[in-house]
Amino acid sequence: MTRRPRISLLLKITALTSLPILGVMVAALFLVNYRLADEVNKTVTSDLSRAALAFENQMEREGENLERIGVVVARDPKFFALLILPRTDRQNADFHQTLLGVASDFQRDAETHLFDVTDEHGIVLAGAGRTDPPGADRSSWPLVRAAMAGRPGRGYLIEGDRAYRVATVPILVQGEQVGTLTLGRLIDLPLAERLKATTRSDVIFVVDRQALIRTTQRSGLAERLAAAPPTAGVTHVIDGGSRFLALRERLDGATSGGTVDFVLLRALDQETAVLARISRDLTLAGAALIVVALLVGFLVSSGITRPVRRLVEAASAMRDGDYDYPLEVTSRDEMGLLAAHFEEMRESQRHEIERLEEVDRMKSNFIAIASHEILTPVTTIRGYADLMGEGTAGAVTDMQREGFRAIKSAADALTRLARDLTHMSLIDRRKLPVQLALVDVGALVEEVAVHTVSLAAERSQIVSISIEPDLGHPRIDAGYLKQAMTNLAMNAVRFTRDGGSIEIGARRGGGEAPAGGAEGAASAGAAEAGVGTVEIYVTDTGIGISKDDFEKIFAKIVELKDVNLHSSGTTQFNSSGLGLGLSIARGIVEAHGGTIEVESEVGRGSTFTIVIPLPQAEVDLVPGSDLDLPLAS
Amino acid sequence: MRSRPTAGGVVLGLLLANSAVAGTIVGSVTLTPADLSFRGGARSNAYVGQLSGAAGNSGSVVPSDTTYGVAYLSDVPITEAPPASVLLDQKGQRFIPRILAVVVGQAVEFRNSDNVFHNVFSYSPPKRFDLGRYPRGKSKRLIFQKPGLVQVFCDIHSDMRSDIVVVPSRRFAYVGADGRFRIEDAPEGKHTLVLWLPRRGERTASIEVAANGTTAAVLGAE
Repeated sequence: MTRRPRISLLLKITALTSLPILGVMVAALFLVNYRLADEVNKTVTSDLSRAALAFENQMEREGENLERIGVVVARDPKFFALLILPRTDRQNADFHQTLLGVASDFQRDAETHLFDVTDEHGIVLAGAGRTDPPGADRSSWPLVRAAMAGRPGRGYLIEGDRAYRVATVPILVQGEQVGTLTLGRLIDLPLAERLKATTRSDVIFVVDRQALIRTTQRSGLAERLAAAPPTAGVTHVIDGGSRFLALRERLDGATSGGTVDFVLLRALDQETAVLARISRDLTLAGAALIVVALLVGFLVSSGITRPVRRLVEAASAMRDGDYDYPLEVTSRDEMGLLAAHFEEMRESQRHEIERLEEVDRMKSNFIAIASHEILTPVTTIRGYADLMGEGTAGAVTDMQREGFRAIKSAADALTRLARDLTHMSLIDRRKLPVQLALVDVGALVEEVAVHTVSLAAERSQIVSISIEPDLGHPRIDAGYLKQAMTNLAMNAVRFTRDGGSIEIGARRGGGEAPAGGAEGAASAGAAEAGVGTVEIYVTDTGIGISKDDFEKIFAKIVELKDVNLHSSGTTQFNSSGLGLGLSIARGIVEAHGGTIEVESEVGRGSTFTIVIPLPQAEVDLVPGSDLDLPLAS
Repeated sequence: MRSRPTAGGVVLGLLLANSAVAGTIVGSVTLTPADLSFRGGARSNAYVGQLSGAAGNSGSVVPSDTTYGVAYLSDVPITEAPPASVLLDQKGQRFIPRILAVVVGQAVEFRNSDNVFHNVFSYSPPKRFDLGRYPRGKSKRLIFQKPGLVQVFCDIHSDMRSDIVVVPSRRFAYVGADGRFRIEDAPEGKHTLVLWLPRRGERTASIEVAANGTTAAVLGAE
């Protein structure tokens, strides 16, 4: 069977090829995501800062605009002519009425909400739009004070719930300071809306921590931002589950009556919607890339490992005798080279094996033919030795009779040897002509045992026989199996000291058929092997076999080095000196689908057990049926 | 505050004049640099150069570019008919003269001698008017019936300015660059002398005029 690698090459190469891509991809994704979030924050923040700048610029332009209007108005004789009237001429109500009328005219033209005229001391002379009554002192206002000193200025004015963008200019007539003019425009929703358009942000004007004007609908958020202490830079705010970025700054310029801050507000979710989409797209692309990387990794690695796997499988098949497993490696790289070399190696191996098999076959044929050819002359020799020994061809002396008997004995040994060799060569070629029939195995064992007793008697060995009744009728070739049993029994006699004991027996085996060891056997018995076996055993008290030699003893030729250790010192029982007995016995048993097992201890003796399977049908067979069986009585 | 001259007054004035009992007032006021620079403004620089040659004009009753104030006797009734109209020209985007004394009842002719339109107006209580715009060559006349200061401007040119001092008597004189003035024909007796300077406004002084003599009136700078 094929050994499986612990971690397959495919997995390794896939991992090696796709992991770096995977890592790079994940790192890139992480980096891009992180950078993107960072960039969004930065972008929005800087955008908001720019918006704040634009806001301030626009407010500054509003102020400049007011100042320019103020300068133009202050230079207009129709306007300033009243202010340089001698003080005595200003006392009457007529003067104030006239001034108010003139101021209102100019206010209309200038389109300002606030149009305050003071004298050179900062005392209000007239105010168009809304204003303090004439006579109010404005000299404490920073802008008015600056204008009184001849400097125009811009700033903010808060009066109650109204805030104005104001510019104050001095009124100079021929170098003489005659008063100040303050122009102001209301900070109102239209202005906020214009600023919103400019800055693309919601605008909140905060006067003294109150949201005075706001373009956002979120009044709660506006109030919250207004009430919070001013913080530098952009802050994150959450309102109703939405995220906002807010930037609060104070408006430049001299202010009177309070402070004016503005807040720019942007919904972060809107700002980041596009970037979030980009990020999501990137993530998707990344995931797709990872899949592609894995796929490419798998393809690459399978491209590399497929030929390797083929080679491994081919090697495996070769071990099992299949030299034709298709390699299917056509690449022209190192893999192709390896496959080609493997192919060459396999071919030469195949030729070598075929050559060896041919040699073996020829050897078997030779032995078969030779042993058969030997039998013919030997029969002749034996027949004539027999005839002449009995005096049929003339009188023989005792001496001659003894000689003929020796010739006959040698001829018998030669016959046995030739028969053994024939059997061996048949077994080798798996051509043992076993003819299976239902046989009473008990009777067969008894026959062999009785025969053994006669042989053992010559060496004073005690043979005990133990045959269970009802052993059944396995399908066996009685002749061959008897030979196998005889071989075992004769070995027992041979390797047991004089006066030793031998036990021959047969019994019903366990429920299991013998496993393995039956390859190439005439498989009928093995295939039908059902429950039950018959065990035939021969136990001796001989020299024993070391465990290392268990397999060796079944080899065709055994070096019987210890043959001379035999206590009898004779070679009478060593008739099959080539040691084919066990090999033949094994061949026969295996041809029956059975096995021979051996248990032994050096110096204590051995037990050889033939295990023959009982076919299923046999188990159910009723003894005494009318089958034509050579039943033992 | 100033009484309108009656027909009787006129007669009396005529009598007085005929009586030839009269003297001359020669006055002098110390002009400060501010008094001299009242014209102010870039366009007024032209006047500065004329200051040196202005000394000889002192005491004139003829309006000129080199007058720096007006002195008059406020309590001499007008007995004769008003003098002929006086010209206030608009030339080189200036009112000429810068200071003009007008006797109550006298007419002023506002002439435009420039190539541009001018629009003469005044908010001053003694005479409020707006002559509207008119081109070169055209004149408009106004009679000044109330004594007092009338500041005249051009609506279009903010640097143009003229001060018309409407005086209640014919006894007046312009103050020269040296601060001097000379009022001829002053009736004998005690009088109130009024001095008007653009930067300082009016100030009064009592003066006694001797018959057929010259009375000196010196007013400090204050």
